[in-house]
Amino acid sequence: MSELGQQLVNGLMIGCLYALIAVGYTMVYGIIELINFAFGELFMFGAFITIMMMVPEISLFGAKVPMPGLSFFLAILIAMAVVAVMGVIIERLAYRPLRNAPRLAALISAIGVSILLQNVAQAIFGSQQVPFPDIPLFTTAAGAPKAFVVGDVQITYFQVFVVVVTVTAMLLLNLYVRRTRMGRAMRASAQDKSTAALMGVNVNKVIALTFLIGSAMGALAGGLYGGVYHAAWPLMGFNPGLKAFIAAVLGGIGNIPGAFLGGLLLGVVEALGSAYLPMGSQYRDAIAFVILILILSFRPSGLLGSTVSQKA
Amino acid sequence: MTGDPQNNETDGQSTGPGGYRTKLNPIASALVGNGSTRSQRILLAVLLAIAVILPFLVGSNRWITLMTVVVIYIVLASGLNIVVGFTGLLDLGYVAFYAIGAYYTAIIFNNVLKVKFGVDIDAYWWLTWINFVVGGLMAAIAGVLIGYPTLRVRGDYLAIMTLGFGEIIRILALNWVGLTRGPSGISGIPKPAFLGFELTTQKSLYFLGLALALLSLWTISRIVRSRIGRAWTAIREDEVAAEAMGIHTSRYKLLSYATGAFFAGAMGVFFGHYLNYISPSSFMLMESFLILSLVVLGGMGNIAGPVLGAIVWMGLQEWLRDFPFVQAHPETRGIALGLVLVLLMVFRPTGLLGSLRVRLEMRPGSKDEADHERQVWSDASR
Repeated sequence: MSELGQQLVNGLMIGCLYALIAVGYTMVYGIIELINFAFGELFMFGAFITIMMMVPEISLFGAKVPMPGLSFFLAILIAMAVVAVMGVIIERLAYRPLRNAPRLAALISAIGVSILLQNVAQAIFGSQQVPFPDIPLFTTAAGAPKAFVVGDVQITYFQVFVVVVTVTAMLLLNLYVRRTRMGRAMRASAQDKSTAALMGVNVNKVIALTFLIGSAMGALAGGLYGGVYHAAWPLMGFNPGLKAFIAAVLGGIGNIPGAFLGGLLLGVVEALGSAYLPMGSQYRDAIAFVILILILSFRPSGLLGSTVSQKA
Repeated sequence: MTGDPQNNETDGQSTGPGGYRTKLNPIASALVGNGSTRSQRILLAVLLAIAVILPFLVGSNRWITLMTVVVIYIVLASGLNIVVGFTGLLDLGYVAFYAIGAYYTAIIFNNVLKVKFGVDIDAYWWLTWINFVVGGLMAAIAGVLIGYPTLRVRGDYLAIMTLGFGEIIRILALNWVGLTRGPSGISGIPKPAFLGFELTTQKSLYFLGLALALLSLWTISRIVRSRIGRAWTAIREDEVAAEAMGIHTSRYKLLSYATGAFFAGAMGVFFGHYLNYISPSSFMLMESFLILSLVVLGGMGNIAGPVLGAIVWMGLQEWLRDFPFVQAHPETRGIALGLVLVLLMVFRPTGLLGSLRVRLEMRPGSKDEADHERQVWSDASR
């Protein structure tokens, strides 16, 4: 029983992080129908920049550079801001020129950006893991994570923090998209870009904003993920990125509550699968993929999605 | 479909809507080919002559090894070109099919013949030749299985499916130790032999690879110019219109995945016998991206494109290997790879050798409703 509870807690937490990245995928796909592979890498940059801001000194390009050594909360906010700007720049340089080109061109450009960012990170931070500093609020003086025990399930403060932050971010984002003018412009653009443009919506601005929000969310997830695993490394974005996309498809692409639901579900299924399936931990990364095959086969529109047009 | 009488020999088999041809004739139809044009055939002939003569001129094995690697990548890139270039669907896990072929032949020779039956594997030299086909077919089946779930949704999902599949195959190769020996890999795969005549020298293996490459290129260029190839191109250009014209798009897409995968599988068999040793580290994700960039660099939807892409890029890589900076920073390769993909897509989506056909299509705003949309866009952004 205790293991089941523990796995549920762990799965929910990872699921929250998937959900945060999935938001970017789902919003961008909803409007310009592009799988922005780079979100996985922006997530990785989020983790690195968070670390960079927290430590007193870091090695960049092999040279020691002094750093401000800010608190975790400030560091992750800075990471979100920096990565958000990166996301907008990427959209401007690599995707906007291709918006009316065939989808293949944009997809190849996206994978190119992803490869580029991964290797740039390797050039800047090195290919080794960079340790994540302890966060005083969540760590005891001895260096162990602060936690409380419910029944026989151990829940760390950091896990609670991750869930609270994710739920808050999701609620705010959902409110933003539902209630504000800009949110309405986003929804209109997702339905029909040209008609939205005719109604006076600045579609370019909307798309840039989508990348801004998606990238910031990805960076938030990255900073939290780094905190959970106590490290950042250049290839860390690949699997979470892939899984977040699967989570977005699971929830229904283009749907923000769907991304949240899909992320949580994927996180939990993955945690339970790797604990209870034979050889589950080795094949952990295959579980998401099997889920993708199942959704595409039985419910391509996702759990909460209404329609997926097959227009080529 | 033959071209007009005056340009029959330039195989201007434009397969698009009739209006296409009338608009472009007569000069352009020489350029618009579903695959190769005269100038490209000359290029291929020159390259072939070099490929045959060069091994006798250079003494060092380093050159021969490089050329063998180039030949392998030519086949891989040409196979991927079927899916990406001719059918217009993105496959990001192509190296998985290559791995399937390589592991298939390794397992048959090592685990089955040598370990299970304890026979002398040299007596089964003929199996190698059969395995080229069987390994290819295994990969083709995998391609269909992976592609099938994506048929109901948009083609982009294939990118994610194949990306995931590429990783799954690698994870399987790493963890299914009983079958694949995990990270340590399988060694002792015999060199290819023919009636007791073993191909042991680098040069002979190179020529076998070259022969396979020629066979593959010839086959691909024939398929691409057949009814099947025209169906693929139609799907690439406009899937809805293709379906309306009576093309069974699902079937042709599956055929495209299968054909593309076949060549990777067959080449995987060659790779296994060539190196005598395989391990999961040969089939990393980066390899898939590398093969993709060869296609994009040379020119998608073009027979000569991947050939040129493979020669240029692999040659460049080899040349750069001598630089201490590159040796110390292997990530510069990845940076170059990513940059090439983005810059090519933005500035020259047709690659080094673009067919005019692809160029017309890749031009922003050339697609059906996109023309109208672009106008709206330019108005909106003002």
